[in-house]
Amino acid sequence: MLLNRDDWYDISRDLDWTLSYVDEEVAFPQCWTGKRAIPDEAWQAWDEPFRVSYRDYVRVQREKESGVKAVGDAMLRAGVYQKLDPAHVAAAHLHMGTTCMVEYMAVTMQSRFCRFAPTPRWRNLGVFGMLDETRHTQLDLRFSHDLLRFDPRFDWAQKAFHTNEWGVLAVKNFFDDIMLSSDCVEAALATSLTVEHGFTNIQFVALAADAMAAGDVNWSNLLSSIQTDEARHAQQGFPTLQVLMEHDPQRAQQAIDVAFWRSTRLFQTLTGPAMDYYTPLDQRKMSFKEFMLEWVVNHHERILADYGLSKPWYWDKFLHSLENGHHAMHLGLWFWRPTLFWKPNAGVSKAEREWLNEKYPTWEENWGGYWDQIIANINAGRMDLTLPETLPALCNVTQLPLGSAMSRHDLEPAVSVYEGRTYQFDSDISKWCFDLDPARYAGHMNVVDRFIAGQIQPMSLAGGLEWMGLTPDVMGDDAYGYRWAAEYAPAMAD
Amino acid sequence: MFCSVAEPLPEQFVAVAAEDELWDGEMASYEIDGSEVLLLRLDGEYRAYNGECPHQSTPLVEGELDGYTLTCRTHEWSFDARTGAGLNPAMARLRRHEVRLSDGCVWVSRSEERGIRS
Ligand code: FES
Ligand SMILES: [Fe+2]
Ligand SMILES: [Fe+2]
Repeated sequence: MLLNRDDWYDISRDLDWTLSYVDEEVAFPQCWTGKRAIPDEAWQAWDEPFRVSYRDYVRVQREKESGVKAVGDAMLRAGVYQKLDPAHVAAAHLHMGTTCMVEYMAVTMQSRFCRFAPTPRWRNLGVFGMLDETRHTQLDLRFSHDLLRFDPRFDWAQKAFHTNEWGVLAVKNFFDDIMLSSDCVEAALATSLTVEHGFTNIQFVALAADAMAAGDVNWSNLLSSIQTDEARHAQQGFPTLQVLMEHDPQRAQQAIDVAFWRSTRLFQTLTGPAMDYYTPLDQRKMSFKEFMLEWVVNHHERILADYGLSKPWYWDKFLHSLENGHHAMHLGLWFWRPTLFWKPNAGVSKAEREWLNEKYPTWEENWGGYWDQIIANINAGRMDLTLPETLPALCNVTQLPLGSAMSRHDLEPAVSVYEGRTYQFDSDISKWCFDLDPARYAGHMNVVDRFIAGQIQPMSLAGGLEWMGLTPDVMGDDAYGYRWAAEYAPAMAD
Repeated sequence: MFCSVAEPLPEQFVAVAAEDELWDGEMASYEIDGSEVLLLRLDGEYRAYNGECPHQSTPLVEGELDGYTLTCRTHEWSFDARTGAGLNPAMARLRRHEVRLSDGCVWVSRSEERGIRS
């Protein structure tokens, strides 16, 4: 007779070793568990009440898998990809290049939970997280492989993380930190709770809705299917936070506050432009800010309050950044388009601009002037003036351009000196992250540091592009070949 | 919808749907006094529960009703749709609202039932 799950589940997930050949510290080193001074007994309270058995897991995942495959195959046969709007397609290139390998990094993080988490219950759940992330990597690779014949940019699903493309390096830098190098406790707070529970909603729910509206059923469906796993394994963060609130609330507050800001900056780079500029106007659902407020800010505030944490000191600045940061990033991405492996849509036609001003009342005042100049240069045939000649200075924490975190009025430098070296930041929030734990970030050379140190040769934009692995077949250019600018041209008098 | 009451029901009951509005195995949600109530029809009988998932408040109507199992779409918490009892996790439970049929309509109590142990 088969036992009911409830009859064996607790025994199976509480199964643990009594170590006799090696010391606890050898089998479960502090540097990986992150237990620090939290007593062993405290971890017995770690509980995720939703029960996952291997049998149930396989059954549910198998259903999801056949669903994704069926839709993918049907869309491929129907030739849907070839009919998509070029501006939207860029969002898929950007996603695959910057996300596929992050899924793979997450396999390593979840494997660390399986092996080193401070309680067998958590180690048990880590197994499913690890399988989830393996699935996500494979799904992204298969999706990209299927579309490779239509666009070499899908090669970047695998290639991107083996290049030095600056945006990819910014993504990698963050996830190296909170996935690959963090102990279990910090990874659960920074990645599971902050990134997976909060921010992935933007990439996987909001963007999925936009993709569906844009007719990209295959990608939308893939994103939604991945999100069901994220939502489940992100839950590993909550019992961890619960334990920390009892024994080390200060560590929890700090890890979450740092991860929240760094995630904000990253999603302003990856998702903000995709939602507010690349998604064709009539297919936009919510603005990036609206979605952030509803899905990330509200949830985050509720979690902080429920668990007894405070709002980060920088909350007002964060809200100011929410109004601006992704517009600044978008302007920079478009201007430095040869440094991208996707074709960004400028997204500032008259109608689009009206939408931007409605969603962001300060948009015109902050960003309109820059775009007007770019438009005037395009219409005067001076394309050379719309292209960069050098690289922007970058932040030593986020790896993103200085001046891209707030409005154009907030350009005071944020600087720290540590062990004789000067570090620069995109905001005083990033500086605060650095100052909390300088040894963690110090020594790292960002792209511009390397450029100045002569590590990138020849020392020109062309040398930089080659170093970043950007080849002409994928190099970024305006998604619509600048046709959108024509409506601004002064009427021809003849 | 207008429902005149043949035999007057206590005041806390609100008519939410016509008696034939749902097919067997279907669910729908209605707002009563600003909160969402989930109505289900199983084996011809109606049941009503608080419409928000007890985990993190996802509207249950967006989930899936498969036989007698109601699964929330967000983290797959599942419930026995007949009783509201948690299947996974077992410690969870949906809060029930009393249902009455009268005058061709489904009437749902504004307040959750107290002391119901399923
Ligand atoms: S919100 Fe319903 S399962 Fe989490
Ligand atoms: Fe994932
Ligand atoms: Fe994940």
